[in-house]
Amino acid sequence: MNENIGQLETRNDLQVGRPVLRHEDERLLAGTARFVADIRLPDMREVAFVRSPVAFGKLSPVEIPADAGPDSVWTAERLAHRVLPICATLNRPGFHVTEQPILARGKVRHVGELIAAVVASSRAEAEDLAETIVPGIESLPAVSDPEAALDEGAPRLHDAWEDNVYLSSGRTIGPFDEAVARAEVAVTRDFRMARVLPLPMETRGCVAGFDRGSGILTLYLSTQRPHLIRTMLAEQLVGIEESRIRVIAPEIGGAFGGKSNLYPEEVALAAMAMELPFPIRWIEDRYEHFLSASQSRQHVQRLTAYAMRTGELLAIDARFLVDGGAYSMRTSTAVVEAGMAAAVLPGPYRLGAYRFETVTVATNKMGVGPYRGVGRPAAVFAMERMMHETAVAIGMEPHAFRARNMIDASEHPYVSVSGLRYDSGDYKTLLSDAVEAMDVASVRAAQRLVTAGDRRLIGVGFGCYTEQTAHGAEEWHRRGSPFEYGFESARIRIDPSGSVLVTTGIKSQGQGLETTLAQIAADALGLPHEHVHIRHGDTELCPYGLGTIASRSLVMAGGAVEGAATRLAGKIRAIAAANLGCGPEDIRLQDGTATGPFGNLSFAKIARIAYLELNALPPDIEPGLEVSYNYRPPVESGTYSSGVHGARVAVDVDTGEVELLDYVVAEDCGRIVNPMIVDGQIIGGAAQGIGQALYEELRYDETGQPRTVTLADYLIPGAVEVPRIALRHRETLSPFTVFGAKGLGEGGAIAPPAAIANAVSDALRRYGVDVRSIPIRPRDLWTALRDKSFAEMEP
Amino acid sequence: MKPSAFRYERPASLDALFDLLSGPGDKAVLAGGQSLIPAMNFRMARPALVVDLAGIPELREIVREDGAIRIGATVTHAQLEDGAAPGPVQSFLRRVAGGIAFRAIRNRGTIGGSLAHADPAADWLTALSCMQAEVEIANKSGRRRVAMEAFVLGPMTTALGDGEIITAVVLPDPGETAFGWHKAVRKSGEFAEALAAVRLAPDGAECWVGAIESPVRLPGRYDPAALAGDSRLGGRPEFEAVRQGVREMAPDADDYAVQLAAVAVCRAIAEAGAGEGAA
Ligand SMILES: Cc1cc2nc3c(=O)[nH]c(=O)nc-3n(C[C@H](O)[C@H](O)[C@H](O)COP(=O)(O)OP(=O)(O)OC[C@H]3O[C@@H](n4cnc5c(N)ncnc54)[C@H](O)[C@@H]3O)c2cc1C
Repeated sequence: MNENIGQLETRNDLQVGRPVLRHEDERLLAGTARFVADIRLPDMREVAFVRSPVAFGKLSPVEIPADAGPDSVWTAERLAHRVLPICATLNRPGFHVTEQPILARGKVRHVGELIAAVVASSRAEAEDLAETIVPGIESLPAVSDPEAALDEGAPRLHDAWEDNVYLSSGRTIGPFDEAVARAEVAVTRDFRMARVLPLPMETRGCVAGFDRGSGILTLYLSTQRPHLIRTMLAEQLVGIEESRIRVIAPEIGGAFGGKSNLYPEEVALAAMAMELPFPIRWIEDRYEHFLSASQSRQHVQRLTAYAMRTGELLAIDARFLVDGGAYSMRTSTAVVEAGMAAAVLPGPYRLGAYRFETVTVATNKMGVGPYRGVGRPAAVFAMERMMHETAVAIGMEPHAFRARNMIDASEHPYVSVSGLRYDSGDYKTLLSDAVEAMDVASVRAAQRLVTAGDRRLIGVGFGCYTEQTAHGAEEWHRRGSPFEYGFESARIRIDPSGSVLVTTGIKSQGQGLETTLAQIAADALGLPHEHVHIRHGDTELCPYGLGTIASRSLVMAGGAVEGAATRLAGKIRAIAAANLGCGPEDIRLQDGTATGPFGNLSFAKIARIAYLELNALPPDIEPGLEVSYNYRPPVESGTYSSGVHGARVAVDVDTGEVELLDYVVAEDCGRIVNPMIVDGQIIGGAAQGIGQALYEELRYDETGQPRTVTLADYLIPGAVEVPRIALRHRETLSPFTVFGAKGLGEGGAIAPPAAIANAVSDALRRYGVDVRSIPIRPRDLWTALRDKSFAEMEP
Repeated sequence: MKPSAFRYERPASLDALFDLLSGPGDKAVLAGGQSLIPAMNFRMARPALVVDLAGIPELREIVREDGAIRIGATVTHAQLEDGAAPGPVQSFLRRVAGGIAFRAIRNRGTIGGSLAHADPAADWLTALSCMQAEVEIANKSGRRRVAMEAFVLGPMTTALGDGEIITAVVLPDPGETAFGWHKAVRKSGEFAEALAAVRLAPDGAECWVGAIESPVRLPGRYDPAALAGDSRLGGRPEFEAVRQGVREMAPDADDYAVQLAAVAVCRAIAEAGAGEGAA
């Protein structure tokens, strides 16, 4: 029994790094997982909302139908004593706050805004009653286009503002004017990126019940941030303190940022439940989802790149106009998209000078919030289109131009021109991996043979990114966020019978965190990962944490789990050592057994000692086997993942249709904890990015009426539209994080619009057509091609 | 998105059905429900009585009548995809049915429901026009047969009268005729942006175009050989003739819709010419 006394770190049987099957899949595949819509409380009633049918209007007080039951119709007046409006703040000078009523009062500002809530014993009956309530609205001229919203005479959404601007900001960094003067090449492009939405398979939903005896309000909610929602509810609701609010986020069927906001529906249900003797629920239908779940992106951009003929990139000038919709969502606000885009634009490139301006405007549309990638898909699209077009203007192969300007692996830590501190990464290697996978040389050879009579033209394109993940308090403070996502929590308990329960403040929404965190805990404790049971998403059960957003959970909750497990392992060693007649440093933990030079004890026995057989526990060791740990990263500027996406496409010049032939993702997320889960995250993200590149688009008409309110209007890629995605992994460890892991949840969704747009532009080069807007619509390509003629020689 | 209250009946015979349909109030017959139920969920359709056709065995039958094939109204897209219709029409019907929506929808959606709904983008409208089908219509007092051109009066408008239902679709024997089919979609499983169905006659291809309009027949006949091949269509004189034909028959369609439809026609012609879609 004394043949090995190795430390955890030197063992070769680590579970971190293995593609172990996901713990959560058994219940998901068997259909036994419980989502909000599966929650049934005794005597539960259903809620339907009366929503604004117009984008902008003056609202008269709602008249309650004479035959409606006493507690069946809820208006703004009825809830006024219970709720405060949602005011998302940002600690940035010049930022305009919106006051979003829970139920509209005085004015409605977008189609779908809540006007009244109706309670009945079934949803159908609630809808019957809801449709008898016809709100008195005097329509006002609405504004639904971000550029029009900036016009002098544009309708003004918020009376307290002097215009429609949430925030405008700008900076010039480095010797910009000199760079412009020196540049031999200047390329300018105007781009547009459509509004899209996260569109999880499971819509939003909430069940709320108030126990009059204990005074406890319980909300079952499909949310990414249970603890923060509880904190916010305590602020939004009058007459209840946080300790009496319990938020349970059960199984979540996808979120992608869309469930990281505080929604008025949630506050309304909580407030109504406090006044009703029965629980109530609201399950969002897909139509409501298109009207009132957070939307994202929608940029109007103007970019100019300045470069030398040698291929040196000198400067970028960028203007981002983002359509923020009617209200800022709590807590990210309407400016989350523009702020992020401006900060991350320089990406993996060495850039001497950078000037940017961002403007976020209010329009009579649903608000925008975080969606997988936040700002980066738009920034990477802008930057990578410019890299491609500038290379074309110089006459260089685009990937060679990129490589020429990329930061070297040896330059890390590298502070980008916009002030981001990149910890590590090898961008050039990722690029060459992707270039090799796409076989650029063979594409070039085929392109040389193209003639004017060819129907199908092929092209290749790339999109490169760096992604700040798991950033701590310093970064959130810099951004002006009222909540700083500075730490994450874990509590590990080994029960008297030896079973292991880990609770944490994050909330997995399909990322497999119950598996990866179990792998981490298992290695630190010396247990098979199957024996570690992870629970999350219940404010009563789990320690306070910030939730799952911003690609933070593996690094932050992983750090917390590792910290708690290491501390608990120390205690196990101490108890074992006292009982095995050796020193704690002689104890090896493996397979749930503590082994010393003279014997061993199972964890179950040690746990029994710690709780129930204290005669064997030295008096200086605290009884019990439970440790809590809050992880705050030692470096709070985040750790940077990176990636290069490559796409090969064929464009049909007769129809403008784009066929995705091949797709590669070369990526680096530091230490890979579970390769299978990493692959799944990347492929899923890439599918969303492909959707954004080619299909997805929320349309509104000029009166602010949404034109995409079903999945027949809003196209998303299905299995047939997503090609097989080839993956190339590199592991450049972060020097700052536990195991050197980096966040990766969002990366897959960031680069597809850039890579595909560049591939399409590459395919159409002989016609002088390049992609200016996302999604890439066949109609637009065909229309652009129509007036162009074929260049016999390669341009 | 729940329907307003309605009464539901599932008669077992046509006679019982017609009795129910002759009563007062708003009524809808229910076939596969793939168009009706969404409309009810959005409360755009609010029938007080829903009469389900699923209990009437006669409507599910497929029979040969001399050379013709008579397909009952509630035969599903999936049945036709799986080859339920015998004879020379089988392969073309399979081809068309298999391109409608997704299998889950094809399992419920019916050929009669598609025709009655008369969405211009419905695949059957265009395909059956090209096959020179007749629609069998019945009410309490009897049956009549109407040619496709006379059945579809416009978008979502048909020759069905009050209290009438579609009982069957009758397909004449196409003999050796080769058919071609093309459905232009943004992504798989969606409604078409343009549809083209083609039958080869000795003097060229006869072409029907759908989706951009209720099905229309192009004025000309076109030479498959001239439209074959993989090279670009735009600029070829034969293609320009097809495009002119579409433009003439669909004057309200925009340039891109006309282009897509013309390309669809050429691809359907090429397919018919190559014998792939041949019956
Ligand atoms: C997601 C989705 C995608 C789809 N994609 C396509 C597509 O690509 N191509 C395509 O062609 N279709 C498509 N459809 C429509 C589908 O094919 C429907 O099945 C079809 O339009 C209606 O047939 P149904 O049997 O479901 O009719 P129902 O929905 O039951 O009825 C439709 C209408 O016809 C009436 N009706 C039904 N049967 C009769 C009858 N025998 N006599 C008189 N009136 C009758 C009903 O009263 C109702 O008004 C799609 C549907 C969905 C939901």
